[in-house]
Amino acid sequence: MNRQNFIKKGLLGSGIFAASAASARIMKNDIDEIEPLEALDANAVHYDSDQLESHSVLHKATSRGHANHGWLQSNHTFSFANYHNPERMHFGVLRVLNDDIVAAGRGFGLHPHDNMEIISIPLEGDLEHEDSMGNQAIIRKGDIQVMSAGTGIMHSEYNKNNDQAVKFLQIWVYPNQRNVAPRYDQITLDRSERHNKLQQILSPDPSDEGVWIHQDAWFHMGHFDHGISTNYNIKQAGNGVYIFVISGSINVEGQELETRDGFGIWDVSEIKLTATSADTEILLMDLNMILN
Amino acid sequence: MKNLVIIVFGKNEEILQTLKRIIESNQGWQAVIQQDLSTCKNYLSEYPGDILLLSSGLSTQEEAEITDYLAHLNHSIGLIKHYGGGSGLLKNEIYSLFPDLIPDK
Repeated sequence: MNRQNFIKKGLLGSGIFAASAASARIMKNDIDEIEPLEALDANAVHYDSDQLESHSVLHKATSRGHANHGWLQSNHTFSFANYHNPERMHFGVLRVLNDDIVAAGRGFGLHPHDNMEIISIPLEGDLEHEDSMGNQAIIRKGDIQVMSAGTGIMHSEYNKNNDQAVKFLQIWVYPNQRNVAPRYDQITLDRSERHNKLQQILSPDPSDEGVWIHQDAWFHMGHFDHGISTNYNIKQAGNGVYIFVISGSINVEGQELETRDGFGIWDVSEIKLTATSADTEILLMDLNMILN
Repeated sequence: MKNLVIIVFGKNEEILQTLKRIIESNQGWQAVIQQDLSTCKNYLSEYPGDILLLSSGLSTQEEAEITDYLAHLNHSIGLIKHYGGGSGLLKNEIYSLFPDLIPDK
């Protein structure tokens, strides 16, 4: 399977974990059949509109799956829980992008996770965390929380406040190795460092800026005034970029995006972003397109 | 809903019990927990089920060995390397193997 086909399969829903009939009649994951990436075309810096269409995917905010649990309102960019859309399974190693609102005083009780890198980004309100490793913490806007679930972790996440909802993004990234030791971390970032520029919030390197995860992924956030442009250089050849608009609107390589839209682009080494409204906030995720 | 027997092989007791509860909340789906490689092999040879789901805590060697063993048995059984440990991805992983189970399809 070449890279283009893998990405297409992923985007069309039969990617990493789709069934295929192997020779021994065992249906197994395509994960074992993925071939190494082709080298990135050094000339592929920017695309014209026709090329962009074949190297990108647009997920409009209104096309997301929605779950209403009363205390929890969740919008799923990718298939999750009872929302199953074969065309929305993942973007490279990005598997879950949930846009959650938890009612005042409510939350997720103690529950387990394994083998996943889980990143939470509060957008409004306060989230109270407890886990089986003894961590107790509160995360707020400007904080980034990360868990490597690995061999298994139990945790709860509650809205700390009884008078307002908490809004946060819940992001799951496939790890580059299974069954690592569970790990929890959180950091507080200076949000002024993302005004009219991109601020790195996550990387694969513990000594680099932001939190770190077991995957070749780099996340950035930016808060832009109207008309401000910036360029982003892909960190690793072969990675793709997924941009999620938290607020406002932005143009990415000619593609107009509005609040809560998602846009993935691959086979490019640099992208140009221009805010098309005031108070535009984005999350940019630079991700491995294959699972190691 | 189609009857499914899902053999869940892993080491983390809390996660195994969670997966069993989630699986068996679906009518006709049964989870069989296995925590030991040789016991799991013996079970598979006699009762292959529909899906072997690899949960957490297994060594790389155990995952490879049980996968090879399954191929050796030549059974028509789905293999899922499960990620996430709970309800978030489980059904989607099963639906990917059995698209006919997707509701409204």
